[in-house]
Amino acid sequence: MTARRPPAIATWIWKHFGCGPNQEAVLGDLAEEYLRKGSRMWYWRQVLKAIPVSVFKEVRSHKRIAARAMLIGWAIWTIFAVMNNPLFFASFFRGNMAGVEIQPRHPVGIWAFLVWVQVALPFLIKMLIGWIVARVDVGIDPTKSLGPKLNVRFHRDLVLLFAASVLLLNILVVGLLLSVADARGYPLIRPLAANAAVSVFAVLLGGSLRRSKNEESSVD
Amino acid sequence: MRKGEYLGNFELMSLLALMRLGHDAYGVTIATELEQQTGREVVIASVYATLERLQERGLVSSSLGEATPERGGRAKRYFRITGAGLREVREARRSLMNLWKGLPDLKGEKA
Repeated sequence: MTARRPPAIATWIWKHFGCGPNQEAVLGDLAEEYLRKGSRMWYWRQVLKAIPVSVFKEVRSHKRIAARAMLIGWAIWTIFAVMNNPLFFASFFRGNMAGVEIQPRHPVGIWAFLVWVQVALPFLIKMLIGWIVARVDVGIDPTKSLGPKLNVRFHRDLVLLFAASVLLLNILVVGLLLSVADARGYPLIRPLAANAAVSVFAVLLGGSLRRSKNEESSVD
Repeated sequence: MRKGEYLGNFELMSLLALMRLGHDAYGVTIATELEQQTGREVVIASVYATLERLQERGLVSSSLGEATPERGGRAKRYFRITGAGLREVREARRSLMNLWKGLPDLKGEKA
């Protein structure tokens, strides 16, 4: 007898982004129902709807820790956004490097500088923010936390919540741009969308660097 | 007047499904029961999220069951309504009945 296996990618997504103490039981139920229904669409729909449901439930149970994670994440994000602003750089150079020739002789130098400042550094900072957000619950005794017992995978919920807020903010910015800008503003939408995708990826990547001891043994 | 949170619509439906299923109440059977009675697709994870919340309030208890090959070797989690849960359901029923009383029949059906 060949048992039909549920979609592997959807299962992987649920294992890595799903939350809650009954994650394994949900997977078992999905596998059991998939055998009966045999619909890949049904399975995918269940997984994609399950992730926000489980994250919201966990965050609702531990509002204080979630609020702390959001506050810390956005505070660092804001400080970096201000410091990485071209106007800030200009004033910094004017104030501290008066009279210094900053134009490099080799164009490669300025390109390397721009790539570092505009691409690599923001990516690393966003990764760092993801990593910090994932560590907000470190040191809290799961059994002594306020409210229900803290899940060992709660840091994933925090990272997903923060990544969702980053995505939401970017969607709002693009929406605002679409509503106020005329056709001249449209070329900006593609880089903004790319920036949103890269930002979310960086946060998730940084957050994934923290793994709990239980996860190391339970996640494939 | 009683203190505490009211049961949400889905919470009440989940408790009623537990009562109907008795000892065979786990994710799949609860979701199927809710789908059959409401005619809407139910997300299995939302059943768990609701029951976990009710468990935190002491209205539901759970225990791990057997693992079967069709579940990929994963154990079932069985849920049961507690005494406090039963009281809460009775209270919700009483409140709803009081609210329905004296209302005219809804169009297209008898009360």
